[in-house]
Amino acid sequence: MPSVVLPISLTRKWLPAANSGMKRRLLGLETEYAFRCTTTDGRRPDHRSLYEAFLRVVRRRTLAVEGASSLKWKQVFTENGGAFCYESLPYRPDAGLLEAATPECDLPETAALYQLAQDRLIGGTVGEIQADMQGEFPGLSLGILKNCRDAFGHIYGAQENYEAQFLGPVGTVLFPWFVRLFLPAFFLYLIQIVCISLVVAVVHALLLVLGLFASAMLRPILRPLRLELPDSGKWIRLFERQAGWVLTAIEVGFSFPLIFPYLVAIRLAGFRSQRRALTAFLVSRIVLTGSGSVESAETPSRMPGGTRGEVPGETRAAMPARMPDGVFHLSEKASAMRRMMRITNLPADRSIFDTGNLLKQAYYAALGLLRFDTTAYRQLISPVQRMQIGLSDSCMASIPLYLKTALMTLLLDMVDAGALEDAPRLRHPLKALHAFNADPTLTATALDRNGRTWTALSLQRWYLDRARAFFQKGEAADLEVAKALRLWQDLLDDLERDPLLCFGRLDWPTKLELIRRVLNPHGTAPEASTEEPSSPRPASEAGGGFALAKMVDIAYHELPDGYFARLRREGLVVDLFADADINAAMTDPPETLRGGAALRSEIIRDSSFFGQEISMSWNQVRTGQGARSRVVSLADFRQHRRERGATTREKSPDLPSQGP
Amino acid sequence: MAALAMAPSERLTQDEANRAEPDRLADRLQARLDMVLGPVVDTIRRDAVRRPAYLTDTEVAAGGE
Repeated sequence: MPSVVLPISLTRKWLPAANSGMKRRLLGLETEYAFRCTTTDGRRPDHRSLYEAFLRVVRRRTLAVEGASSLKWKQVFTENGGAFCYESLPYRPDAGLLEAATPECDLPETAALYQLAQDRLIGGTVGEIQADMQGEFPGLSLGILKNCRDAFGHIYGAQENYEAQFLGPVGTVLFPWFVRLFLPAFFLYLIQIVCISLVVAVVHALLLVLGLFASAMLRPILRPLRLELPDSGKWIRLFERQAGWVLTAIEVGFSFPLIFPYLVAIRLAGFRSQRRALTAFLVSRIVLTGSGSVESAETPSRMPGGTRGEVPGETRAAMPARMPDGVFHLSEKASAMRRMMRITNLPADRSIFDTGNLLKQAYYAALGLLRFDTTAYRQLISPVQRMQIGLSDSCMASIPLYLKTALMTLLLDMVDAGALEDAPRLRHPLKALHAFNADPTLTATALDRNGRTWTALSLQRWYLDRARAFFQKGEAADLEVAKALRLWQDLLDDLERDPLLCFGRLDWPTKLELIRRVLNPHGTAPEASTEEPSSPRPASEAGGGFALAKMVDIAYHELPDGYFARLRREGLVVDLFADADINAAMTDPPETLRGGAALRSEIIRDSSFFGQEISMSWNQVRTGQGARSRVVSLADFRQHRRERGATTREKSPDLPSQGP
Repeated sequence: MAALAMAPSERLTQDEANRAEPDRLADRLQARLDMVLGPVVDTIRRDAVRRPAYLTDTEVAAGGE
């Protein structure tokens, strides 16, 4: 196997990293995991009950404390500093996702390690959840999917968070004034939404009671006629979904006049230098970090909510890897990207640079001012903010997982130093993204504003060359940076030669080769073939070649025992991290110079000391409940401990942080 | 059997890869994958027969981000 044995080992060496040339910027990874389940009698558990069962198992394995956020349902923080919550749309509360966030880290390799630890913790709960729920759901078979797209085209998955300079000199002056003008409106909007929600909830509750009463009355009348009404559980779910739709429509409708100008202002002022310098990098990095995705091609409507016919904008000489009734894309999320930067709060308004966190921050600021607490407001107008990258796949292999954060961190340092001001600026970045995404031959091209033609690989090489020059100048002199650059170069070289050479190192070439071989075990190259797979044909039983390819695509991501895990067991994938380090990271917080993970961990471990129930957010701890509760910011608590001479795993004075 | 478990002398190193002819390299890689991936592929094809409803079991609502 060519170059699969990496010349680097990241195990534990990175922890002190006192000589790091990289800035210690806070970063964290968020991942949404989907539940897959079957039962012998066909009844499927509500995902909320699966999530609650998950939490019960997690609490057996690690210490955890309830989250205090009013916007997160059943959030818990674990002793390694990370968090879990349940995320769903209002109109499908029963079909939500398990969302997990790594603790905030300040080195890319640490973030990757904690993502792997999180995956392992989650995967390790599946057996116990199945056992716990067998009584209620006989034959329950559960898998947890770490991916970004289900078989019906629904998008969810991964996000990256980096601490970055939010505002330029002009924005630093103007944006706080803009926020001050808008916060009263946000406040009124929240009151309005609360009132409307209460009215909707009461009306729906009345209708539900009436419906149940009517069904109870009608049932005896209909029974002689052999007519059946849905059971009460179905009524409740139906009303729940309808109420969710109504609330969503009200929220979107009422909030649009407020949210749209706010997000447009952020778009005008926020992360300008990063967007200018890094857009071409992000749209082309899918050649490294894409997880691969089988998407329906000719008949996208066949799968409900399918890919909706993404058309590559500037594809030239690109030849998608065709498979029966489907195409293979490099990235699971790329074809769902609609904008460079979000301008509405609609879930489908997916963007490469997401600003949903800044919207939530405005809600928190408005709520905080109601309690005369200016913490969230001060964070909102800070010139340094959490930059969310929405164009991010759920990587199974550790190399793309590591590279995602390592390269972004390095390039963000270069942006801060003004070293990427002449970065290529693509004429149509989204079209370029879709073109690169649809082309596993890596020959698709895109034009920049000067008329120069680029492939995804040539764009990556431009950034690599710049990073190497920056590194050689000594501005980021660091062994780990050198290793990341070497890894980057090796992978680009191999991708250029033949993407198959990256089998076992990058996700998309690994998945593509697996699908090729499953569709045609006799080895015909699928690009040249749009025919059905040769016999024997399990595809026919599974619903055709597309269905078989899609099954491989999804099962590749299943925890704990999907196809990627199987390849790993066979020794066919490259691991960057030692098992012992991953296991330790399941319970120990990261050793960081900044961020609150270590302090949260200590509070969770010593929670019995408080003598009453505690809950926490990324930056605060709340003791007690109701009117007698007390909120302490981690920054204040840390200062108090420091004055008393207490030590933590944190290495030096730090700043208030904002978690992922 | 696994590529990574081979003796170092049998491994195709990065330097070798750089020197090798692209076609020859791809052939060697294909041959290696033929050997090691066969059992995994067989298992997957059996899974497809055993779990015909796998795709519908994976339906989730878009959770938003």
